[in-house]
Amino acid sequence: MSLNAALFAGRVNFIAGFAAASGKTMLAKAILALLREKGLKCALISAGYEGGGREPAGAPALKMPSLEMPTFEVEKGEVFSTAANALPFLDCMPELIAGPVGSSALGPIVLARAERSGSAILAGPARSEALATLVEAARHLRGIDAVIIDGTLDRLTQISVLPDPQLYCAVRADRADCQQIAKRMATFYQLVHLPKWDASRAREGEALIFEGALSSATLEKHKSARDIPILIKDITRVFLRPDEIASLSARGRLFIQQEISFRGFVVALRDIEPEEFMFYLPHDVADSILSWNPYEHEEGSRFAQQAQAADIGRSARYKRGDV
Amino acid sequence: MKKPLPVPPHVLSFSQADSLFARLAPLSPYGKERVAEIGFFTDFEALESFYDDIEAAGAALDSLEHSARRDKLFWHLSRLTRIPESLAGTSGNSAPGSSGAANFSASNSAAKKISASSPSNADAWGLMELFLVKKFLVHYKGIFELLDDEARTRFGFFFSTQELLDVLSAGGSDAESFSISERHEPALAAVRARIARLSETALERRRKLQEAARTAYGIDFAGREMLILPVDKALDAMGKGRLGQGPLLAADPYDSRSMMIRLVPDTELLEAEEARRKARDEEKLLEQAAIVRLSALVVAAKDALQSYCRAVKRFDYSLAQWKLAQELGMVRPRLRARGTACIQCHGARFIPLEEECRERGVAYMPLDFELDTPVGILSGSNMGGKTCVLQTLVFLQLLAQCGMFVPAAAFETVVFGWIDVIGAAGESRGRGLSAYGFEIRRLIEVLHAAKNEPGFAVFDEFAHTTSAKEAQALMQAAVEQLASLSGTVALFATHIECSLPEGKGTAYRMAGLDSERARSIIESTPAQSERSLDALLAQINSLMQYKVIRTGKASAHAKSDALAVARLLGLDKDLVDRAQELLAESDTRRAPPAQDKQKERGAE
Repeated sequence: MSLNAALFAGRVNFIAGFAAASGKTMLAKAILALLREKGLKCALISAGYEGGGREPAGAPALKMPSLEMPTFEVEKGEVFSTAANALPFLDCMPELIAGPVGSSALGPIVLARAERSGSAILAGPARSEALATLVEAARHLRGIDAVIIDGTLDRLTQISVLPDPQLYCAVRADRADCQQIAKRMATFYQLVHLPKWDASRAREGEALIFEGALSSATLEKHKSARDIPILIKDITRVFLRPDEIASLSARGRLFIQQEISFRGFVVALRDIEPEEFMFYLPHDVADSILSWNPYEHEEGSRFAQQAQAADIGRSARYKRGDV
Repeated sequence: MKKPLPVPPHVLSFSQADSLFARLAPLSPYGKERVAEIGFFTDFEALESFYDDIEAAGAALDSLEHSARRDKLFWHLSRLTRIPESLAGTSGNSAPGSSGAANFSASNSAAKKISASSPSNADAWGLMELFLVKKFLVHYKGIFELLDDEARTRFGFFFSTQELLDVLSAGGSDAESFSISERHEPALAAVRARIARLSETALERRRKLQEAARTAYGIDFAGREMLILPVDKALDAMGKGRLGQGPLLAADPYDSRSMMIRLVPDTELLEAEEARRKARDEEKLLEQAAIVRLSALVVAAKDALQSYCRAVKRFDYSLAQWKLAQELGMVRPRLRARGTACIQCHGARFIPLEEECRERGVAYMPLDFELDTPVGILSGSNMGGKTCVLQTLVFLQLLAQCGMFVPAAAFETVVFGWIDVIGAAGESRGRGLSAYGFEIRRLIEVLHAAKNEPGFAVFDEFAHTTSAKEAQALMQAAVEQLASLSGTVALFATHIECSLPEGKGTAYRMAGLDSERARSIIESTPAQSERSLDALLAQINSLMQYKVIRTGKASAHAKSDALAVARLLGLDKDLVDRAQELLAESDTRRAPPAQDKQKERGAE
């Protein structure tokens, strides 16, 4: 399966990544291009920003947009989140439509509509509740067909407050870090596919219920309860090591109350072929790759075969002896 | 109006009044700000005025006959935005000097953030500040139009800024949104038309370049700003571009086998973009000039805007009070002039306990109580509800003096200068003081305060951590001294026997345990310890009569039912029986022998 507008239209789409520069903003722009081709209008919302987030307490708000702030070319009628101090630098004739909601280092966050095509600086609140308020306001705006959130992985907790979000994970890997990235993908995949707790089993004492975060330390505290299922609200509360997640998953002990709709990985590779990269992935993780780099030219490129990703995966697994 | 006093944290914690403050739900940022300013008022007139406000807000709501109009009022209040602090100037106006008061609302931090980023003068204003003012005015006007004359007058609503609203409304596609439009600055029309033409030219040119790339190199950008191509294909396309066979391409290495290519803008596109940039600079100057003009108009309306904010703050807060009063069956307190010692309540409810009882499925008994002397002493069974009586009274008194209605059928009280709680469990002591030491420190503070100004103090099991004999002496002395102070009211919940000064004290006891039923239950169910704590508590609850009885005796002492309660809580029967035996022996020793009694009578 490759990217197409139908995946994103009418939905709240949250783009996560494992780190800064993992291609989240580029993926958001590619999705935007797909939706525009179909004549659909988007609301673009940023969840904080890379390397930033909230300003330290007492720090004066920055007066100029920083180079780190993602700049988008928006089209007339599209909606975006931005900061008060960025407004004079936008040339898309912004019309302010909601806010202020939360704050960033560039001042309070507002929702604006581009009255003409031009550049926009994206900024968003780091606080989950503020992000939820923005998204809620954006998705109900007349003429908006999809919401795209340029998110982060380290603040994935934000997704838990969003209305029916679809989660995408942008991944960038090269020859040097491909094995490590593959492991992270596998762990992430395990997390987003944790089984949902069956409420009918929820008799008193049948599960360890964690309202807050599940960390290695909390797990250690409850090590005597080795075989009791662990129940968490959603995957954003899990702060365990990969080996702990793998161990709990393998023993069928970890459950969630609230599922997150994970739609797949979008993987940009450098100096490594898809076939080789997929060799490091468990087959179910490889199958969840939704698309390769959306900026690869489809015809005549070395990834011309990307549409047959599943075949490549099968081939890799065959070599490995999985099938 | 006198400034409100901050509510001492230990009084707040004892009365759990903060749980009720937290239930106040004003809809506007100004109403929320007012909740954060709740404090203890000692001004009779101010309190009556707060109560009048609550009733007036309720009347204003009732005057909106259709629920749709009420919903509209709530909608406007909830959509109303906070305008820049330099304009609003509401902070502390309705309850100044409340910096020490407990912070019950998170809205304060949001307010500070907006205020911090908002300029202090209109020169530095931007689009957002004007957007906020417009949105504020739209919703303020909506509220104003829904209120009747009485409410407008009461809360200070007026609307004199239609012109400003009209000017601001010239920008934005709907009532709330805002942008700088050609109606704000007519010269913008020509510049914007030019920008639109240039944008169209640039867009068209980009499309043509993309189309040319597709035709010449078979490369489809499909709206993307760059593409990744295999090196050979990228180099081939770039070579063709240099030979003039297609548009020029710029390339950067992506990895060892592919390149990232972009279309190089041609002269026509660059010229269009440069012309657009220049036009955009012109537009920016015109927009800035419009912003400055609009900002000046807003600043000129500063006085009106400040009044609007104050009116909204007062009305929204009072409306939230009214809604809470309706929800919880709260009534207006009746205040007496200071100097008289009287607290009287009928059907008073300590909401946190009432709700806990409801959750646990046990009955809750509202409180009827009257204290008309400077000192009251309340004794009675263990677990008989003495502390709850104190909590209920402090809860009601605190709410009343915070300008709120109270959960009771009726509540009549005095406006005290202070309120304090001594001996409450759970108060953090610190500084190396023992529980006893801490109580003594508090007593010193209370006596000192009472000498300056009449107040209300409750003592929960005062001096219970020291020896019984000394505790009794200390309490007797404290009672005598408190009774001698004019206007201060002190209520003790205690098991210590104490004499009350003539005409200055009233003794009360809790109705307590229904001894007959308790005995029958203890005898019929010997294995109390095997029952769950919840079950035992429910049983004690059913046996207790949570009612205050005025004994009218000069000496305050009532039985504690300690052994029966211990048994009901599951304490071992043999242990309780032995305690009963010891108690009987002690009573016998204390009672004068029969012969002595006869002698005494003969002498008489």
